[in-house]
Amino acid sequence: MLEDFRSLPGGETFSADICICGAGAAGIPMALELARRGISVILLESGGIGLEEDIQALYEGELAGLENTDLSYSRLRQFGGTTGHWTGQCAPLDPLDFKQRTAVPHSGWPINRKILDPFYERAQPYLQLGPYRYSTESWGNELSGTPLPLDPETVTSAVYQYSPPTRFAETYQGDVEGEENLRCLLHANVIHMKLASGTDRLESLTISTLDGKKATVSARKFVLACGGIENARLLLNFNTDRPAGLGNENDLVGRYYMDHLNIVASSIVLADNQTDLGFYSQATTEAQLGMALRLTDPVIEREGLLNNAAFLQVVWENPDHNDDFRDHAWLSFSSMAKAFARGQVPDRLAENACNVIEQPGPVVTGIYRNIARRFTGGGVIKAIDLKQDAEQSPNPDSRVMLGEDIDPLGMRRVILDWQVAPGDMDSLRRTHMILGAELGKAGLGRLNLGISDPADVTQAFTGYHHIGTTRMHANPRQGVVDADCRVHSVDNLYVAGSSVFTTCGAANPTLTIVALALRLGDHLADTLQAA
Amino acid sequence: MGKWTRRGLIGAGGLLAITGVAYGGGLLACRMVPRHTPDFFASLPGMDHDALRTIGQSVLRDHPGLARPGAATRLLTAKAGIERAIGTDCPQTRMTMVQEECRADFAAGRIVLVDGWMISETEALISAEAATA
Repeated sequence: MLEDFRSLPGGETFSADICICGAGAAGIPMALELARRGISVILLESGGIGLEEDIQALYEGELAGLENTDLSYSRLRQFGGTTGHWTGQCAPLDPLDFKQRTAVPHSGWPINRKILDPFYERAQPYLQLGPYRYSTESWGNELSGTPLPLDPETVTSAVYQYSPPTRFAETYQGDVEGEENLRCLLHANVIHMKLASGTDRLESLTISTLDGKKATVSARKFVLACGGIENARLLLNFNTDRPAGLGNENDLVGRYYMDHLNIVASSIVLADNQTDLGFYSQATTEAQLGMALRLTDPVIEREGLLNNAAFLQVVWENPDHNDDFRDHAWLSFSSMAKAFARGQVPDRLAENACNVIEQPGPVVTGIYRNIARRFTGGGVIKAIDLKQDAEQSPNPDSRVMLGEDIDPLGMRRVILDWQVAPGDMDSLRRTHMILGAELGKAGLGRLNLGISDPADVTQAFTGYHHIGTTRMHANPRQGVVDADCRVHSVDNLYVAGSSVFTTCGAANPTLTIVALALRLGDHLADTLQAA
Repeated sequence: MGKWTRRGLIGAGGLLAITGVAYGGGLLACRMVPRHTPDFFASLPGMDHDALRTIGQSVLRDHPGLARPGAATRLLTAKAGIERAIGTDCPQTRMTMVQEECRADFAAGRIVLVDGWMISETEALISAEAATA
């Protein structure tokens, strides 16, 4: 069931087997699966069903490091979380990402890809994706077109799938409402976590509305699922029982903050400017697929590189073929047009309409170009830009901290000190050089290197992926949570979401977030039922 | 539509074979035909010589040693593939041989960075030669 905490009496104590804080990509699937196994769940959400500015403003904070990012627009504090505006690009982390790599300090998860595979498979339907197949071989004859004939020992095709994208609020609101064992409270902000006296066991937490109505939630186990920045901020703020914050005995909470390095750089000029690149973006009967150029694992390991998947962004000779009009206004227009075409009222109609009204230029350009393309036929390729969310290496100095400013709930606001190491950019440059050499070797074209030497980290922009602040590691001195996502120093507190990633790989994080949440849900259910 | 007869099929196949042999023979014969191409590099078909010189100037800026008379040519002719290309009169064949040499450069890591462009050592030398000519 779904209730608004503002309409309930204050001072109550809510009880359940499990309490999950955060109704987003991790919290909702986990809550649903637990409830379906007969376990009572309280799911707490700070926001309401839609965007509310005063709630969203709780995300505001200060940037101390690289400023090509932001704190309050990149995530959504509402039911469904940031799935309210994600783009839907999905892939699992590569097996290599889980390994301890000598060239990548602090790498190495305590779990591997094989352990996660069954959960990835279960996560696919939650994101309305196709079958769990992420290699060109697994798609076999269903693929059309051919990849560029590059040496398969060196370059491979990374396969991505595209979610519609699933808006968890619209897609799962009915399921949450209909689940008897699940009680979701909206406008319920967690403001305190209390340990049972003299133990390492979390006893209860305090929730509050923005206008000060409070209640207590007790549970046997608790899960923080509030996102990569907020999970750390909450743990650091809960310092009544533990002076450095919950789970922060080894000064690790908030550290190792990573984002994907969103960079469009380096361009390719093809020998044949009418090369068919249809292979790299195609639809099968089961999924919408995108392919990217990726170096093979042996090459990445031999060269000591970070992971990267470079998407081919075609620049057409005729600007009518270019997609550079696709900004937020266009995406809003496009989603409204598709909904109307299906005879439905678009999701978030007012927000989308305002996006279009405020920036009509890209929409007009997009409409014109889409019509013009029907008459101009196939285009001539001027160049291909490489677009990527490159892996950032784990760095303890890149971190989420608390500032002195206090939010309306009495909690310290966040300071984000995002540090990108020059070596991360050097790795990407070397990756592009290897691609350039392979293109030349195959006689396909020439590459213009767009990553500067010496490295200029300001070339990197946020991928809006907040990762690593409560990292998973078997050793409590190197990680905040263990392989089961349990906070090392608190018996019954768990963390879900991208904050537990030990390394970030090159894949977008949402699929892994859901897979890890389902795995955690199984673990919680199994341990509760065994007890 | 009439049916394909055996005679028709054999005829079509024969025609294709003759066409293929004639084209291949023509390419071979082309190698024997002397042409007035005093500058080796001028005989590469489809080459934009202004662009070549522009690239060459950048190569010379980064590698001034190549500006010495004959320096680029000496390094070029030391490459077996280029030496063979020089001995060939057919521009298309020459181009293919030069392209093969470029691909071999990339495979062997003989790559030169010019204003961010990753070009083969052969391309760098050819453009340097063009810039000094």
